[in-house]
Amino acid sequence: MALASWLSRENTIAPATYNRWRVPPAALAVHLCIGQVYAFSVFNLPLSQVIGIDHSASNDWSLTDIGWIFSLAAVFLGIAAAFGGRWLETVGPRKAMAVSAVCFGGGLVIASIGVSLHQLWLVYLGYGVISGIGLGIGYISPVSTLIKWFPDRPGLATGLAIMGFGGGAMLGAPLSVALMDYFATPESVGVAPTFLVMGVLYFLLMIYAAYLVKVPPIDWHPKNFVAKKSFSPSKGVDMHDAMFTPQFWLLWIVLCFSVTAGVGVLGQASLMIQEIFGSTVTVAAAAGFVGLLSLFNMAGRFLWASASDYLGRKVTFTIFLFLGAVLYALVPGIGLSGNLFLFIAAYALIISMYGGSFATIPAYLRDVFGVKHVGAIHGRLLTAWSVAGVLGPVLINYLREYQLCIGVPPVEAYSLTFYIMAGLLVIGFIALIFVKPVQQE
Amino acid sequence: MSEDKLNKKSSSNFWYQLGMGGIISWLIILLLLSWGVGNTFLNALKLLSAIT
Repeated sequence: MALASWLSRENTIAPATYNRWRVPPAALAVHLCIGQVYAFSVFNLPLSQVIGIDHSASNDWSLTDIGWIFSLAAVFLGIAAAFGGRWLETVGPRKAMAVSAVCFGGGLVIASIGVSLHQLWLVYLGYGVISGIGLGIGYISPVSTLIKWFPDRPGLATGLAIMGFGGGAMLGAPLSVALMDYFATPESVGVAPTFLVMGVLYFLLMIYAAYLVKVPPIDWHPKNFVAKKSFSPSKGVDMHDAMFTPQFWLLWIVLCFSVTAGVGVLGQASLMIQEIFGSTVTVAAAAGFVGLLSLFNMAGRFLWASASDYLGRKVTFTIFLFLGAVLYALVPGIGLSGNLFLFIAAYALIISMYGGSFATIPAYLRDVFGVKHVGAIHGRLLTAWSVAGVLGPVLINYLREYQLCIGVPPVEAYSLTFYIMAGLLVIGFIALIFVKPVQQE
Repeated sequence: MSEDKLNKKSSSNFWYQLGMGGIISWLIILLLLSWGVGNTFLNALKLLSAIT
């Protein structure tokens, strides 16, 4: 009973004088934890050597089978975000964050048991399905909460929360490697105890976040801030109504096409820079390039989303789509000219705008549909991310292979893909032109 | 006072609100973030210096 009461929405309503700056750490903590999913690739090799230890034995799992763990997590993230949004708005962020903590931490514990017993289906169920559901609920609940606390700076609010998701990999990767090194023995690669410890640690940090989180009282607004009528916390277009508006689908296209290129590039960055610049870029230097891109991905989330409060959401997305298209059209030429510094700078800017798109879109949704159901609408819009997650890598990988097959040299194998990416951004830009706020009546 | 002026005034106490709001939770988060970001940044610099 005490637990149910603690989790209830009524118990998370803050007093009118509550300092709203106590809430962002809760949002950041959840996103820092679930962002670990971006670092899952550090487990690929050890998971393929659970039995052979220093090599892959014949009965070890193949990398293709292991690849499905991340894919399942990504799919269930999308499903949970799309269908959990309305539930989140009803039960409040504390219960949602607690459920997310149980799912994400619990999923890691189940995956740990799966690795110990060498049962891949248990790892799929644990990390792929259960942690994936935790990821989806954990992604949308902090965003929807912060946006209600910062009606005067919605871009800053969503940037703060979603920046944590970018930072989660930077935290998760070295933590995973350090734990695996600590637990590794001549008989074990150390993945099972690493999953167990990470499950417990992430659960504790996420529950701490659930303890910190509060929602503002109805019709609360910051001192001296006069909300426009449509931005009143008690007003907003219902999720189902929103899905029948052209604005929702136009923004869906904007998000999908603005992140398609980034998703594809992030997965292939290391190989791409080595193929374009040949022996100038070693494998180690390419890894440094990937690290640099992840830093710009994270920084872009906070900086672009915060800047959108001053520039306006439409202007910010115009920059993402227009400047992005120009940069993608220029990148093949930069690659052929051999100017490595310019190539890295162009990509750093492109990836910062990729991160910025994720962080700015919830604030744009709030501008268009109002505050009340923004969490639920955001959850549904994230299906655009799932589509981009398939489209981006498919475009990059298959077009590269096709180009190589027809005899195009590796240095030019990405040119066609880049031009197609530029074209997709132009389509996104055309969709953006038609986005206008919804008449709530 | 106009709506814009009022809104500017509300964000002018940003640093006061940040300082007074949940110092411990902010410290935990900033510590975790700076460890992750610092690690990645130093590694990226070290590895990029391998460009011949």
